[in-house]
Amino acid sequence: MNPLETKKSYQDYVDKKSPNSPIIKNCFNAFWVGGLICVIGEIISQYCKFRSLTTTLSGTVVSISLIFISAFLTAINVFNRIGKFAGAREFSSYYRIC
Amino acid sequence: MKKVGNQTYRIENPVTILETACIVGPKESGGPLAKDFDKCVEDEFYGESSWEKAESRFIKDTVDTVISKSGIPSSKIDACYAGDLLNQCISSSFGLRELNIPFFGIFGACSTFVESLILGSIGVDGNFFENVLCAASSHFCSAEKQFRFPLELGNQRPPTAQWTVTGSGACILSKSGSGPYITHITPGKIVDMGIKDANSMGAAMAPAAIDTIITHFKDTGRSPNYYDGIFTGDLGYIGKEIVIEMTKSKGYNLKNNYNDCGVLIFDKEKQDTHSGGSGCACCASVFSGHLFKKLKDKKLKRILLIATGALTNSTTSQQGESIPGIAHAVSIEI
Repeated sequence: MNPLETKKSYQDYVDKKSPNSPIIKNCFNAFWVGGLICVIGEIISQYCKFRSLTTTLSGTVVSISLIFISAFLTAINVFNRIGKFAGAREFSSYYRIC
Repeated sequence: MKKVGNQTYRIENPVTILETACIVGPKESGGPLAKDFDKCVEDEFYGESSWEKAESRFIKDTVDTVISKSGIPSSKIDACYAGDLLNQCISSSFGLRELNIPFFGIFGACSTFVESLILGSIGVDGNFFENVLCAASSHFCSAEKQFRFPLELGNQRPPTAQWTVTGSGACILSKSGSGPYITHITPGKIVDMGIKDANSMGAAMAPAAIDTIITHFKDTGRSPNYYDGIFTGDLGYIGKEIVIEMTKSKGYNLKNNYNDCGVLIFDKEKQDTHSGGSGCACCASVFSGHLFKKLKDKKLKRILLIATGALTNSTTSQQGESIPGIAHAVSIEI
């Protein structure tokens, strides 16, 4: 059957033609870069506790620091490159968690 | 002008493409066609404070360049047809607000450039206009911002995504001149095959291109071999493949002389542009720079230029609508 005959057959034809995103590679990169950011957050948090800040306050400092770092990296045009490498969706969900 | 077949018109009074100009951005400057462009700008902002202002400047400077190259004073240009991708076509209207030439803002998404050529040649052929200016522009950053995601989000681009060309192309059509001539026009119909993915524009627009190409051949009685080159506007690698396969199944073999401007403008491997270039400026700059030079040097004598457009916006995508495609064709001969 000619794929152009119906919308359904054309969609199936296009799906076959379109290469898939490298999901495994993207997930792997998102996993370790995301983990690395968590480690940085944890280091800041531990340092804050070492300086006798409360747990709540340490969490706030972590958030502020990470948001500052990402804003700074955005300004110098680096954040989007990290985002492209590590997968942006992971980035935004990470900020929601922290 | 005489109607040939269902949808094609033969131009009776010769319409010459007198001169062309194009200015492109940094990514295009690093591509394989860089030497064919009039000016390569190394700054995405083009010295302006926003991407929209930069795009306006691209079209303004391109139009100024084509006017000065042609030697025709702007007072002798009777009309200007121009368009772009931004809401209400602001790049063209803001960029050309000091032009002082009667202005028609047009929107055909990425098919705008050939749409302007068609409308311009109707005006010249019909003896309404002596000289007509046609122009189109697009900008990667302003288009991504409007149609997809903010660039700073650093979103993942799937392999089917295309890279909007930053830049502008313009040309002057004239009653007098010795070619290359626009000889036939085939305005396209809207074709929607239900593709909904805004990152798969090539597949969404390919059925419209196939429809226009086959209609053109049927109407004129020509075969693909009649042309030295058949060029679609911005179908990219996937759209190009679909066009080759689907036209072949209908009995037209395009494989030998067909290519896509979105495939030509970037080096896919080196420039990470995935499925190729797109945007109004893709067809406009490749034609105005690369193809027009080849026509002038007589390396190409007959070409069929088919600009393809995805008639969508961000609201319709969010509401789950599919993407209607369109393709307009002009045949240009020396």
